[in-house]
Amino acid sequence: MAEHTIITARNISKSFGSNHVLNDLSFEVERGIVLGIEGENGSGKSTLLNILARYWKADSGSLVINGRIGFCPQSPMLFVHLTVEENLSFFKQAYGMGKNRVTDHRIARLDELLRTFNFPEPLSKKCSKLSGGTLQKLNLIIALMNDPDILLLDEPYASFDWETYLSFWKFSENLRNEGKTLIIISHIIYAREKLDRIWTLRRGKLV
Amino acid sequence: MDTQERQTGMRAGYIYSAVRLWFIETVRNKMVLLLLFILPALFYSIAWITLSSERIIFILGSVKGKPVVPVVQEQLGLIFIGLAATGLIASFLALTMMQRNTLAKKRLVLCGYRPVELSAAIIIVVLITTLIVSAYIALMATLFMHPAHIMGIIWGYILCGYVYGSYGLLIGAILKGELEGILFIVLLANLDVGWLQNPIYYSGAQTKAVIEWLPAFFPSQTTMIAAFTDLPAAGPGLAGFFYGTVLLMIAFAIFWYRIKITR
Repeated sequence: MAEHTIITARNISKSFGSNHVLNDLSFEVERGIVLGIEGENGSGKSTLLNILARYWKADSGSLVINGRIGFCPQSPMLFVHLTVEENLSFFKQAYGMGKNRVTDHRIARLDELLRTFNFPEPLSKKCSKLSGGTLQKLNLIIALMNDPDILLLDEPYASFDWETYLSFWKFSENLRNEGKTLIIISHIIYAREKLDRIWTLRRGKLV
Repeated sequence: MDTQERQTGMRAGYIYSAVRLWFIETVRNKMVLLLLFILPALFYSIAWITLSSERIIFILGSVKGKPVVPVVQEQLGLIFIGLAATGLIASFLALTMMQRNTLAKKRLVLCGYRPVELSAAIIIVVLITTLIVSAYIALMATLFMHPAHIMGIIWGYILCGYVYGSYGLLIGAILKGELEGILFIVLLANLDVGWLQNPIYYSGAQTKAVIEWLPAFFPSQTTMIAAFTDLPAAGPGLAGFFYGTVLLMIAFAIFWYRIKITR
């Protein structure tokens, strides 16, 4: 793996029964870029992202990821009967985050994320009472709070309002400047000028 | 594919956080509270109003020599209705605990939790909740009757909660659909605890072996021995504990397989 390469995939295939979703996919992703992967419904985008996130295992092939992953799924995977604060506390524990902002920079980062995305609700509010857009913000914040090297985003801005959409792109630019890699999948990629690479996935192959 | 990282061992802080937050989540569930407080009282009240005070006899299947025990029908009915409520509530709580937020649990694993820590936290939450429910239902029985060995009855109910809680976890691990899960637990709890294990049915059953393999056999025998005899109930008690533990282990093997991620 070259020094600037953060993901190397070789001959990745994945099938669900007789449905071959990914066919012998090989690629490399450089560090510090914003990569968009677009494709029609059923082209294998979400399958690929789930394999990169280690949710699913490919049937064959090899995958080497050289960094910490943050995964923002399309539908928020959260505990809806818990409050925002309790969800954050659960994931802080999962990430092994400390309580002291001096010894753990991720604590300050979390405060910064809440400010950046203008998190409007009181943190004591139950997630089941949040709007779809606010829930998606929390989903994104949870993916980002561990300060990942690679951020995997599945249709990230589908429920964002205009202001949050702009904040998202501004923040993405900052992340890229910090040397982080962003992989965004969507059936339609907007703001194409903000992306360094755009790949198209068709019938399980990159074209 | 690259090899899967084997993470073993449990971190107490991680388990504590999961237990604390899942307890909060359970308490916030209005259906759980409704089940906890209303259902046992309702079951007992109906039984108390409808049962007669005639004396009947039944066979204790788990005791050597299968002795015949005479009891008042009302007392037997109340003991059984309590067992049925315990089995139903424990399995429902466990099913909900296992099925709810599967994707969020998997995300926790991706973020750093180990599946074994989440499994341990689920077991702790289900065990403590089952313990509270079983003790509450057994103590509620004393409002309607005054059995001789109340501690033995509490132990029998806890055993029923443990076995049915494990069954609920197993169903929750196997089935993704909530409705199918509820159907499975209601069906078995009704058939097994509410009907087949009832000594009146058991005493007259032609094939007792099938009934003796069902989950509620040992808990109901333990409870009846404590409620109506002075015999020791350690044998069926231990057998029931073993039965519940086997169900629990199978449930967690399936749960572990479902939430594990590749590394």
